[in-house]
Amino acid sequence: MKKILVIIGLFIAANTAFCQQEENGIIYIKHPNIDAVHKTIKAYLGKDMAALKTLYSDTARWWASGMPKSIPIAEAMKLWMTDFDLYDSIDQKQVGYPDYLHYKDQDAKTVQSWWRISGKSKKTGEWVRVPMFVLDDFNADGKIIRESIYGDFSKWNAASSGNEEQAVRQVISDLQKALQTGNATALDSIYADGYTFTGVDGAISTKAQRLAAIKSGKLKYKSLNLETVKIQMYGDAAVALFNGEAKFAPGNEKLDGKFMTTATFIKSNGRWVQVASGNVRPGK
Amino acid sequence: MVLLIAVSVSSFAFSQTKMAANTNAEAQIIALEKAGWQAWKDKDVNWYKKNTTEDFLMVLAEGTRSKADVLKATATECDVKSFSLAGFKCVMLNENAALLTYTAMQDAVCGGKTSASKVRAAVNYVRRGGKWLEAFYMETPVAQ
Repeated sequence: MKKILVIIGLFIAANTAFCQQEENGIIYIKHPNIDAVHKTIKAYLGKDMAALKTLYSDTARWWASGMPKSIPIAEAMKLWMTDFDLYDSIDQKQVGYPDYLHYKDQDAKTVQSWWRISGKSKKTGEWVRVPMFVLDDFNADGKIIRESIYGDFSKWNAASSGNEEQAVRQVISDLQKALQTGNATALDSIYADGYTFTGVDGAISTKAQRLAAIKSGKLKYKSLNLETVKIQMYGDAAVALFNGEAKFAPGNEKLDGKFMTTATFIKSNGRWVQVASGNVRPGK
Repeated sequence: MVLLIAVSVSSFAFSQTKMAANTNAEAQIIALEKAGWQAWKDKDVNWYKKNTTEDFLMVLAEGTRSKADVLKATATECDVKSFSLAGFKCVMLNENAALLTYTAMQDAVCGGKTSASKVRAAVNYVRRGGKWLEAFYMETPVAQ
């Protein structure tokens, strides 16, 4: 009798446990959202920005491992296109097959897929291959609203470090132009939010103070020459040393003269920005 | 969805760990910089040998100096009576690079010339082989 009771008890317990199972949506092996993910790869490999734009919502955001935060999709697309400046024979091969997960909970729609991106670095000639896992979240209109990519991109980024130095040189060139022309909008995008400027007199200015001085015309260059002496790359940080000579508009002539600058840059959201500038007057 | 929650939770935990690691790195870098000034006062060339990168560069009003120049100058050039450092601000550029800024007051004579009594310093440190090393040092005299 005891045995029978135990068996009945176990049956009830198992049945109860089974009843506690609950489905939370459907996994699809074929679905238009899976097709959309395939189209993004085709458009990327074909450098077809117009096609890419049709697949993502205007407000979509993109993130990859190593990035501090996601970036707007328009910015991401520009970043993707720079891959082709740095690599030849880029390919993205599917690993396994994607799943489309349509969750009952919150009606979430996600395609998860596995890939291996490869390319031959134009700088080093080295083949770089990165396995990656991709999550694409969709809206009800079948547009991607968020894309997150997980993988170790250190080799992919390292193989392009020569181009990164070139990118920093370009920012220095842009900085020179923006200062010469008093272009506060351009400076706003070159300076990081926490930017600090140490003048040749040791006075410290914040980004806001520097931009305000440029906008008001209080700080106006008549001429500015920068000669880059050295750029030292530290992954997604860089320090540049340059010699400069500036002439200022009336009111600031006392600042005229030669100077040496160490400028510190970081790559933030795929873009090099300046975080600090220290200046010293030579020969004093 | 479970995966997303797991990623969020691990991401939060990672952020906490990262913050602690950054705080630790900042403390190490500030301690190193203070030790560097003491070594300068004590004419301790070994500190500079051990704690600067091979391509270390010092940028002063007198010009730029390589590691070799600095080792030579540290040993012979300066007589430092006193110094004090204040207003440290350390920005972690990435996990292997940092920018340290501060103000230094000094009573020093280098090569027979009295050094500026107050300077703003900007120093870049990099981590190589797990050890923080000084890579760039710049000093701007503050107009009195």
